[in-house]
Amino acid sequence: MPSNYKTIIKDGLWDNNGVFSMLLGMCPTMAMTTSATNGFGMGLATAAVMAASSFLVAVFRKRITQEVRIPVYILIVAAMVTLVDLAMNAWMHELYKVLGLFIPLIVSNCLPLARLEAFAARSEALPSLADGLFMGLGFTIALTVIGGVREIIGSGTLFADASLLLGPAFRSMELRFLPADMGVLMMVLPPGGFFVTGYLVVAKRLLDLKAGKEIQMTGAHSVG
Amino acid sequence: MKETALMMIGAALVNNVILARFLGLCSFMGVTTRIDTAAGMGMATTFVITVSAMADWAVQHYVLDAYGLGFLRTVTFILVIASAVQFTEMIIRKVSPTLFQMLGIYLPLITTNCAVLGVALLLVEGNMSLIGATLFAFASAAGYSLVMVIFAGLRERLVLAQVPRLFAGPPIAFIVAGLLAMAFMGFSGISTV
Amino acid sequence: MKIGNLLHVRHGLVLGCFCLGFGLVLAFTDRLTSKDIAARALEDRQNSLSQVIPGSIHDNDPVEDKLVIKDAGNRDITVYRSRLQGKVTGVAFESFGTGYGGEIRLMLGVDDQGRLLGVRVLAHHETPGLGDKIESKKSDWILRFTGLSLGNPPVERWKVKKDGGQFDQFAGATITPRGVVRAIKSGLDFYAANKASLIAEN
Repeated sequence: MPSNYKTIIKDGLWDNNGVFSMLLGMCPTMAMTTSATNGFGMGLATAAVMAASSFLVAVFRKRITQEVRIPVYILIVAAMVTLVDLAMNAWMHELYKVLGLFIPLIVSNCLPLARLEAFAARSEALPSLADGLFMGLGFTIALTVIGGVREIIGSGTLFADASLLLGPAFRSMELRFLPADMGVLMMVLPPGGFFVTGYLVVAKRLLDLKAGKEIQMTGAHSVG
Repeated sequence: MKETALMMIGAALVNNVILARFLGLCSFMGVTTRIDTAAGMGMATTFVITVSAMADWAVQHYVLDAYGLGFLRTVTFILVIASAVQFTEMIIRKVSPTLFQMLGIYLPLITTNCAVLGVALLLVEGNMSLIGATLFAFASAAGYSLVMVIFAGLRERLVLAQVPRLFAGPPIAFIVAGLLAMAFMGFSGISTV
Repeated sequence: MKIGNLLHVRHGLVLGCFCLGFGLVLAFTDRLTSKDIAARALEDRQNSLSQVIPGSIHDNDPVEDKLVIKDAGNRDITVYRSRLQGKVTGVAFESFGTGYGGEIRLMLGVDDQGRLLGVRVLAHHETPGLGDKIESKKSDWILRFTGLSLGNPPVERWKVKKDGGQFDQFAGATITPRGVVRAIKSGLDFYAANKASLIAEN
């Protein structure tokens, strides 16, 4: 069990990246990446849920008996999701309206549950918090990159509406690469999500190969 | 009548759960390596989606709305779905052991299939009647099963194809899924006019 | 058997305690956020109303002055009324049409003469880049309806050009504008059918 923080960080952000290596949590990865801003917002919401639920599961791990652990995990994740849902509805309303349905759906995202089962159930509270947080941030990076690629090719912008959705401080991030109506529409439509994710998995394999690492040929699919 | 039919076609094909709404992608990528497993998963999920949609509808109308507990929606829905999965397992085991043998291994996976929760949440947001909700859920689930089987068929062929090593496995599956999604975009517009 | 029962009780207790604990946490958060959430919902409504009812024709808050009427399809429609010195000067209500990707929800503002004060799209599932030109943010197409009414153009011309009417469809999309035009027409029909009760107090 790696309780070494450096490994945890590296695992979460790159080596075992939830999206590109483990292929978990695909639904928000496809649905919420029509722009980099949406991907970033969705990723942060998921990261918050993951950090909080990993921490709680690790704290209570001695109290949670083996037989009822799955219902308890689901309950904890669902409760954290509801907290995020209520808080975003109240204080980040514009972003909430965009993400809508996919905030409650974090509950059935396989990534948080997979990390609870694989890490938090057997670790101390603080390493679990770090694991949840950095797995979540790795997820955020993946979603932002996929969103960025789709947005640049599809609509010719990057981080459009960031000031509206995330706050005025993000205005400087809004960029335009192509003139309006020049984008390849397909990329922001559903098929683009599949294409971009497929090619980005290949890109990560290529980078891993260049770095002399073994490439993972299959995704770990333990949970639905 | 005509409106109901159009609504069902829309739910099954135009706004397909997997290819347009992006729900249930884990199972879409995970258990579509063979047609028979994909069909089994599709049937089991169809059953659970329909049953839990009815249960969630009742919970929303008679418990959450009635007592102003809207904030517990996510928690109760996921618990209802987990119970519906258990319930389905018990019923199928009693009624048809053969069916249970076919579907048994998929049942536990369905709780974390976001198509189930997603359809339930869509129903609540759509403000439907119980019958409308049940039909919508069934049509969505049928669309889900259809795409699962088609995609499994494609992947069975894909095994025989020579794929560059870097693309082997998930990446080529994603690209094929993208092509399938493009094909399904051809359905948009048919539930209008 | 006895030990088995005790174990069941213990599992039940663990699960029950977690349910209760998190239920309380959520109830507390709900208390904490409900005021802000209600305020946001009200702001949303006010925003969409202010786009279809010009500020110059009312001195009340239309969000507060509402009534519910059933439309031809037996759907509950909430109508918001704007008043100037107590006199109803216009109404705003939602109207629904079917586009390429599903339902299109519109907010219509109509003055006391039956003329459109403004139309805005509240929600739609149209193709980005093609059908979404019905949003006022993307194109000024939706603004052309302002000032029109059931007699202007004549009823049989309330269609897109392709169907023999007078409204332009835009490049690459016919079904979306057709859905919008139909929704506006049905909204005006709804207004005409209920005009008496909508502006009864005049």
